[in-house]
Amino acid sequence: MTTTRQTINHRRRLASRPTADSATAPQSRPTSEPASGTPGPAEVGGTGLRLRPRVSAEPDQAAGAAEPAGTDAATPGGRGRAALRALVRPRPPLLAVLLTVVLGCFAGYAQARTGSLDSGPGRTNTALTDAARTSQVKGSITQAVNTLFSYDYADPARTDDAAGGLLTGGAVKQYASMLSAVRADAGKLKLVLTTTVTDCGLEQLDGDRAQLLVFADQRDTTTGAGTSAAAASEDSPAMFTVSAVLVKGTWRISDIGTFSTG
Amino acid sequence: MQNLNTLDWQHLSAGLNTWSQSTTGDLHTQLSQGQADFSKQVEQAHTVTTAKVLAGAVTELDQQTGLASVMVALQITVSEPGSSPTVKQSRLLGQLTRTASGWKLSDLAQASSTDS
Repeated sequence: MTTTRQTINHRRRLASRPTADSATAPQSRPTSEPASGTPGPAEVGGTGLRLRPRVSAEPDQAAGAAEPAGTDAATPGGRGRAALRALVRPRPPLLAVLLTVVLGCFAGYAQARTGSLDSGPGRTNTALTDAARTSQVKGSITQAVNTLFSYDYADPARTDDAAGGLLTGGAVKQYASMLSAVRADAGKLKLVLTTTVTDCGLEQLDGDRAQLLVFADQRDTTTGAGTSAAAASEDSPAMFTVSAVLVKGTWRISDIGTFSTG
Repeated sequence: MQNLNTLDWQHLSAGLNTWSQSTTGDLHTQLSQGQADFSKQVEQAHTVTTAKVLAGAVTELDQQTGLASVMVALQITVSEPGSSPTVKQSRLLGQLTRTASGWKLSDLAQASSTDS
């Protein structure tokens, strides 16, 4: 969920952007640097669904918890980033700790998941067992997310038009509030946001209702707001859940969950 | 599940045994090889790491060959003495292989970002 805090921070970052660009370049272009030279996969910091230009790839969950509603306009991202560095760089053992815990946790969870798939009759979850419908809902939702969370300042109507047919119930309002931050600044920044679903899994399928887990990559490109040179673009990972219902033959998103309260 | 989600430096060997039993193949080998070093590191750092599965889904399942692919959204909290806990979220993709003693994790990686 794009919270008020995120929106406020975003606005602050925008406000401070020209200064940051000219004075402290490292702050403004962190991009996706490798976490360290340590073997093992890099942690992603903030993986909430973002519908806003990012000036910094801060781990939102970590920084957000400690951040008193953005008193530090210029460096909320910097602080989170620094925390991440402090964690990973000088003390590689910690990364190993993380990795191994992740392995263990994942193993147990995965066992439970597959175990439940193998379990006997009486279940109402037909994810995977109903191959046709599993494929149908995954395809539909992948397409829907790609469309809904991609935005071109030059053609906002395209996203708006699509939203009507792809959303229902509570998701309509959720989506509107997510997109409002984008909409507010899109023109000024010449923002082009592109979301690409990289992985989509069906957690639950029960008749005309489904629950999915989605991993997506979001790239935003801005060419406005004082950036004189090349366009600035930034990739950020996102993960979220989607509830979907089948309405007259079309899967629509009825709820979007972004794990933001962790 | 509860046991697997938590690793406390004070109860290290029990935790590692559980993991060892949950993995197979290359992953199992990797974990076993790294175990001694890893134990030392955790004991030195006195970390307590807690992971919580936020959501997960099986993306592919092949009963015939006994292989399955899964994706998991994970939240990890690392606590160290003298500093506030760090919370991170991770996107993971894994593969499971069916063994005589049930499904075990045979591969695990972070979902990569499109860096190209």
